[in-house]
Amino acid sequence: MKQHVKKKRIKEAKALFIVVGIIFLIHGLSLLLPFVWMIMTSFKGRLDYADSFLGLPTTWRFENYTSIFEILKVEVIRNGQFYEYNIFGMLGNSLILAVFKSFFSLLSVVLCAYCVAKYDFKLRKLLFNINIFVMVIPIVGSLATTLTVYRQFGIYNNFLMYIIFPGSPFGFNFLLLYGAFKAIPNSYSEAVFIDGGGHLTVFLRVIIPVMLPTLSALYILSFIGLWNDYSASLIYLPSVPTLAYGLYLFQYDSAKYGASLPEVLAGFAICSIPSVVLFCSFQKVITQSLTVGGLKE
Amino acid sequence: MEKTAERKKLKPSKKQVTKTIFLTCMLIYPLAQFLIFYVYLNFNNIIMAFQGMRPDGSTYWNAFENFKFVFHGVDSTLINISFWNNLKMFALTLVIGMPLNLLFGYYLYKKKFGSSIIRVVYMLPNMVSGVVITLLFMKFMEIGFPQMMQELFGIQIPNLIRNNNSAFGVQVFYTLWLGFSTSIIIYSNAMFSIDEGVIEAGKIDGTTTLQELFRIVVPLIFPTISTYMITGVASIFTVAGSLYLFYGLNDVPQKTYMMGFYLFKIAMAGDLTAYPVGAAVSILITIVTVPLTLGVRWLLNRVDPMRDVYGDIA
Repeated sequence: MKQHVKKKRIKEAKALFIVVGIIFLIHGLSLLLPFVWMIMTSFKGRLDYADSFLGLPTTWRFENYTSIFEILKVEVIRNGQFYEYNIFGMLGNSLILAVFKSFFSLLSVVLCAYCVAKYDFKLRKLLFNINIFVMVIPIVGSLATTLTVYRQFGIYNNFLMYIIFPGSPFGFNFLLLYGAFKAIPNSYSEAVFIDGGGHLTVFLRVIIPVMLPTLSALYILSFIGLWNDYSASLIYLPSVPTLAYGLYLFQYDSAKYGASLPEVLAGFAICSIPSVVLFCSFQKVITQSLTVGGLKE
Repeated sequence: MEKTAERKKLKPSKKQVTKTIFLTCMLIYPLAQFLIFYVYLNFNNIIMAFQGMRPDGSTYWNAFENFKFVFHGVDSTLINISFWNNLKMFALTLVIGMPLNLLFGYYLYKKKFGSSIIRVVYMLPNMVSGVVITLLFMKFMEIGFPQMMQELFGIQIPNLIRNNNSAFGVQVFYTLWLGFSTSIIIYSNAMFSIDEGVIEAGKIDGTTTLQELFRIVVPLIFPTISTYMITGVASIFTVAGSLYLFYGLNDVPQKTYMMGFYLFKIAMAGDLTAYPVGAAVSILITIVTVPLTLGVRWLLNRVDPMRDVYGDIA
């Protein structure tokens, strides 16, 4: 009888995993396609691309990767005057935005989640409940008001202010870090207090090193998100074009600068390099740290 | 003597003072942002919903005119379409996406063929700009797919992206296609935290694979599933799809409109006089979202298989 059940179990498992595996394979390949297409097309000539939309390049044009550095330009208006950004200017903006905004966003969440998870104080329960409230009962779709408030506080079109004020610390990351901080045994900090250390010593010398893998994963994910995001410049920083925004604009304007789609895609391929390198280097840390628990303390 | 003791009791110790100073320093930055970007912003949003705005940005009291405009103004049809499209999009992604997410997550959890590669491949769309993915998808739908259908079956396919009747279906397909990435990783990570002993005990009792998935794994990762569901419902009307990347600001087919895009368009069009209408719409959809989210939360609490073990969701 037991043998029969075991056989049935194995048969059923095999069937299920084969079906799921096939769906996975087809879907996974389709997700790879944009990436492969971008790389292949970026090496094509104009006629080559017009002849074959999906095929391999007949001659590999490496020049697309050099010419994009010369032709990729975006015009923006600042203080009533036109400014032209080249690829290096946009790269610089992307780098500053991704490095620092990721840092300040994470800092805000870390500071709040750590206090709520590890300290007993009057506001503790309230702050945790606020996080649940914000996640469960959001005020939806207030983009117009956000723009008005950003203008009031001088954040709109101000690169520095936009980086320093990343927004409310509550949400998914708060929940994730709250759980991670909570899991660190209190004996670690007690040992530091016995040795005469203070709260800051505990936080900087004990908690941060222990949390480094999770924090790195969140930082890298935020970095990649900001690096590839064109909407920050579109909505809040119209005079500060990032590379993703520049490429987004350039694909409409490419004809004006005599560029072809393969050259634009060479630009996108260059833009993707930091994200891909970062992700491949920290792939294990990133995928393992993505955990979300329930909405309860 | 008694008074000195009482005073001593009232006076906070040095330890307490340092703790308070530390907490204040730690919390001042995040809480200041919460006060500005959540409390002040939403307070402003409520006020703006009852105001009118002149082209120079100055405001005046407008009572319920913005709300009247939402229901009876020139955009009422568009708002109505957007509202139902968001609900349809949520229902379809939930019905099709959630079971597949769980199955895919379970596949990774069981470390079946190609799991480690799949974990990388599924994160790849996040590494490339959304502009590239949309560009390829559009080119494929506009050039590749019709060409393929013509060559293989001799069928002439109209442009599905530009066609008012098929454009929303394309959006649903696109959202589903790109929808499985981080969620699969999160579900599989939640599954990895399950005690192996529980799974082994199930095997000894003769559970089949599907029984293991639905009777052991799903109940044990239910907190993660319910968090996903609750936040999904809470953001039901913020979804804008990739309409802007597909069509730009002004060429979106009417039947494809979604609430997120409608509000985005108001903010981006540069017409300050339309901002209060956006605020009114946001208040109205919040009024719909709040009971819906709380209802789902209540329902999930009722059906939580581990409720008797761990108690209610907070």
